[in-house]
Amino acid sequence: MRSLLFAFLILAIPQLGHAVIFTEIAEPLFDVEPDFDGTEVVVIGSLDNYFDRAQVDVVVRMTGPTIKADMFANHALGPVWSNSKIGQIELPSLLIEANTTDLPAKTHPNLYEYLARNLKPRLDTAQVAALGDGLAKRQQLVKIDNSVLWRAGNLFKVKIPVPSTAPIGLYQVTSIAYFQGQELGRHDLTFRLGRGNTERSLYSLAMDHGWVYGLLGVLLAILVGLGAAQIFGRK
Amino acid sequence: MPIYLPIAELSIDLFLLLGLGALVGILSGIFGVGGGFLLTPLLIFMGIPAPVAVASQANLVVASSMSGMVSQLKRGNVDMRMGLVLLAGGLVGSFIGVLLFRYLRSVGQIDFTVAALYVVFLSVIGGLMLVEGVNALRQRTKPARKPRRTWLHKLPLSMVFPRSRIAISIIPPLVIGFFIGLLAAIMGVGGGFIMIPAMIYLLGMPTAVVIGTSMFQILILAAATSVMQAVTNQSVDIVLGFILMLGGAIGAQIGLSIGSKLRGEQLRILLALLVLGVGVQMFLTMLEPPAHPYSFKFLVAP
Repeated sequence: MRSLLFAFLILAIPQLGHAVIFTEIAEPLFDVEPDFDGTEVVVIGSLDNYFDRAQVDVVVRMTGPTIKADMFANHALGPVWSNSKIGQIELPSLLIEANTTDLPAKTHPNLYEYLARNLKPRLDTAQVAALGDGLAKRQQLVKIDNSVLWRAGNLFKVKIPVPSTAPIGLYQVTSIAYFQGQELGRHDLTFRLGRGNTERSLYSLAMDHGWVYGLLGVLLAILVGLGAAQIFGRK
Repeated sequence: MPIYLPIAELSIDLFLLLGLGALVGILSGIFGVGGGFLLTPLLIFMGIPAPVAVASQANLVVASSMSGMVSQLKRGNVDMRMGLVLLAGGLVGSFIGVLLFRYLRSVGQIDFTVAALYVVFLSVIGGLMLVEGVNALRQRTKPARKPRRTWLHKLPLSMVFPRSRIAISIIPPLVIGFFIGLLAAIMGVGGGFIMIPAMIYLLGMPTAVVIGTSMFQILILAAATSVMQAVTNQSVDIVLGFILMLGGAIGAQIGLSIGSKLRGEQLRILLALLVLGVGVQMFLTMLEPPAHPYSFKFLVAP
């Protein structure tokens, strides 16, 4: 009976114009300062009151800005392993999924499948597996089961870790509500990981004024070297 | 204590980097090498992208060489004339090396090239130095052998190097300098581990003068390489370089006081073992089959 009611709601809600799921990020802008060691994004959301939260699964997926990667085919040269570049791909730099329960594969794609859909150009299964493992090793492809926690009523909250290797840029957070494998609705948000004052100044100097930046680095090195020689020389 | 590296775009423990810089500085002080051959693989192992590791460690080499060279200058162990000849070749080699680095990076062959070069050079030079060092130690009671006159000494454009007490054509030091400059840019090393044996065995310079002269040449070459990398590849991380150099400059002084207590042959054997160890480790890494038939390299800004 409950299933029938939910099936009815799935069909009825969009017509009624209700938002099935609504989310908000506690802090939409993170500045990367010299002491940055990763951060945590807190997503707070609510599910429409028509739904019984016990019957609904929520998936919150964070996608990082697109980056490029060189793809290599590994091959043996006698006993030694070498590789040859076979192309360049575009991929999301970060893919972290948090959910209410460990959802079955039928309910929604696993992260590797999701990753495969977001690649340009498309890759075969072996290539996606290699890429996925590489990202997972760098904590940039992570699934955190049972981390979306229900609060009072139909409110939920999730804390998603952003590793220190996460690149600067605009991140997308998509929250999706599922009922028995069917998507009830979704809500998209963005937040930005930006450079703080010091980081921004250094980065701009390095990119826009390479000569000044390079000479500054060398000057600094000479001063440190002279300073050390002076201090130790006296002793 | 984490510190964010703006060009490498990741954070890393501050004390770990300081310790690494100090370790490399100690080696620099003992042996007169820049230590880049050890530092670059370690930085890459810690997760720092290879282009950033290669480019940034040049700043540490500048600091530790500066620190060490000042002390060597006071002891009169720097052959400026020889250093300048080596440098002339080195600067040309470094310029071409930076361009070659850029090309190899664009075709995706930089990692294999760097690894293969490391294995070849470290193994050959480490092996030769070890054999020679052990032989020298065995025959220590015998008077020091004068360098043999080879075809290298018969080349034109001969020049007297009073500090090194040799007269030799400038062609061999120019070629050695060029070769070191090329390697410095591609492998992210100062080149001391190649230059020191070359100066001892090919040019016939005394060991004491070799270390100071090597530091002088490495200092200028690393400074030039660092600026060229900053301009051409924008991959120098000044924060990473600064932390490493703080540790490195102090370590170089500690290394110098250790080195002054050791004899030339002992220094050579120790350096040979170190060089061989790194070479073998890198070779073993190349033998290890990858987990997947494909691998990916994530590109850092820009």
